[in-house]
Amino acid sequence: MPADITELTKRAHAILAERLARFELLLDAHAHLLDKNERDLADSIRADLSDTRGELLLRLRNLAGADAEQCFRLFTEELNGIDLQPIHDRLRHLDIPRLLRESTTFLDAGWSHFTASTSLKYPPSLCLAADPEPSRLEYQPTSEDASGRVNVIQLPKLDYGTPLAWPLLFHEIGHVAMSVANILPNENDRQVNWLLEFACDYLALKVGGPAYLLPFLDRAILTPSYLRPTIKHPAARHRVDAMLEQSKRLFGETDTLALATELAQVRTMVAERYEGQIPDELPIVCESCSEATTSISRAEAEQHPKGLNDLYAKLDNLLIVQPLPSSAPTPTTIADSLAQGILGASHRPDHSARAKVEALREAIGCGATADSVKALLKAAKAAVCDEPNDCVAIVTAAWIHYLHESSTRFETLIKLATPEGADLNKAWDSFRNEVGKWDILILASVDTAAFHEQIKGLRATDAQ
Amino acid sequence: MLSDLDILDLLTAEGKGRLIITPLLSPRQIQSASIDLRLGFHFKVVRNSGVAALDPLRSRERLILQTAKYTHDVKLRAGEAFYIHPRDFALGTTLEYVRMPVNIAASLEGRSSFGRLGVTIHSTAGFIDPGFSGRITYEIQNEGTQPIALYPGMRVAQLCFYKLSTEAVDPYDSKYKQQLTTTSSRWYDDPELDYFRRKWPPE
Repeated sequence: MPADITELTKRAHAILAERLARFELLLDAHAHLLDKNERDLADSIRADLSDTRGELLLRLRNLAGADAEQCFRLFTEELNGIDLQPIHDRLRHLDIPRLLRESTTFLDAGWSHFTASTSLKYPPSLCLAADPEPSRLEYQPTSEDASGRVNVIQLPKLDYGTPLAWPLLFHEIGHVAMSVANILPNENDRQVNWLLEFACDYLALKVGGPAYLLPFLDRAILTPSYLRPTIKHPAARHRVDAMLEQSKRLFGETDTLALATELAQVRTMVAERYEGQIPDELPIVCESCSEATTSISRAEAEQHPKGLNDLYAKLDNLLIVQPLPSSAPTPTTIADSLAQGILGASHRPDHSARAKVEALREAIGCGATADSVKALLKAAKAAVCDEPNDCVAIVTAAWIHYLHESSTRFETLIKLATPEGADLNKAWDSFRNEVGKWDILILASVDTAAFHEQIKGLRATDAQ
Repeated sequence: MLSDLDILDLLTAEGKGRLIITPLLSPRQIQSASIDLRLGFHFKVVRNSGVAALDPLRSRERLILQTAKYTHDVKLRAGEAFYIHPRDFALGTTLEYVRMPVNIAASLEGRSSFGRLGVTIHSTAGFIDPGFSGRITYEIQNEGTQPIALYPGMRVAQLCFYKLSTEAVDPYDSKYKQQLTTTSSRWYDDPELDYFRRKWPPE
């Protein structure tokens, strides 16, 4: 091993030891507080845990300076060599059903957007990752029980209460939907696996729009997978490319397109920083397929060497993703409320409420009959009532606000993604704080929207 | 005190003069001079074991932990009951998020139907300042002799509104602003306690 790499390894050890010590202390405190049912305090610790994980990755990435990939490789090797089992054991003792409540609500809302020619009866279940942190979102193979198919999606432990990360679940939901439609991965066929990943990204994009694309990029640029493909996944930068292209087609000249354009700039700038270091390997959708390839991907690859668009078109026929109902407020409208710190759980569908109240006041002023005043009062009262918002729209709204609030976010992303960030800790703290302060408002909005949805029939009962 | 018409005016006003109460589930909540508020799904139940006494002159950090230990969280789904037993005390929250205009104050009152069962919804902290935003915390107590089941979504309280003669110059911007769930006492943040601690340091 060259000297500079040895030195690098030593420094990596030192930083890992320091960060893991902090990580362990925080985990101890977190577990203790949850044992004592002190959720608020535990939640504040959780935010610190999440920060520490990200900080660990970034610090190690910056160590390598120009050799980011090498650093990641070292980091992975070092991390694998450290015994994280005690940490993992403690995390496993968390009260999982309670922790997963809001995220499960969100998962169910995402699932409800999928329909298909085959029946998609049961929403997938959610479990916490069995791996030590940093763990991954993952769809796990299905099994059958008396009630039918059981699908499980694994959520990283530290993401259970991070709503801005939940749209990443849409990709895993895509895997579940495709498995129900009998489009299955192949362990050893990179081409099939990669096509499935692109397909799931496409489905996730259709459900979540920017709310999927942005956390994907947020995470991807901090990990080796941004640069390096594996047998299961294409390099994340290619996935981002494909999604940006599809964003244009799916969303047209909308707010989403503006966001996608800004993201494209981030992506380009990151690429410029790493010029000459990124392996220029394109997704291999043009290679010939093995016998094991599923019919959809084989046909695609044989007929169209780079036929992602046609693959997407076939998916459109197989799996229909329902858009938000037209009566629902746009995520931008919800984002306006969230920006003012107002709970984004519900909306007032009747935009004529003000006019109805003014008509009532005028009728009273003109000495209208008691019956007509009573009718106008009833109409005005009905007009100010709310309908629940869609949980997916709430999280999408949060993303829109988060990105619009300050143009410096993109600069921060770039700084974090490159090894030249002189004041990394400060940049990281600012970045995570901006994300973190939304967590409580979004969690409360999602939870309340789900509750409102469950009892919205009350209004009709009252009207009778 | 504001009437139903005034309240409707406030609910549909534009800008900062707008009274926000969300989610407002049903027209039935708008009464002749108040708005009925519902029970939320998050509670903090008092437990006496583990804390000898809450002493405000202890260190702030210790007081924070002790105050947190004083209650534990209960979160319910729709249709699940919260049983309040005789002489039990629990914190609850409104289902509704409330944002008050700067020229309106409000008072929280229990609904008489619950009062007649011996269930009080607030003990003493029923005043809502102009400029407050967030969910309002209930201080629930069962003064009766039978356990009572409470369900999230029930109308348990009412909010009456008062117009100030002038806008508040210094609207509410204190420790409970923007609380989004049932919130424990933050008496440890009272600035006079720092003075007391310095003057009479804890042993």
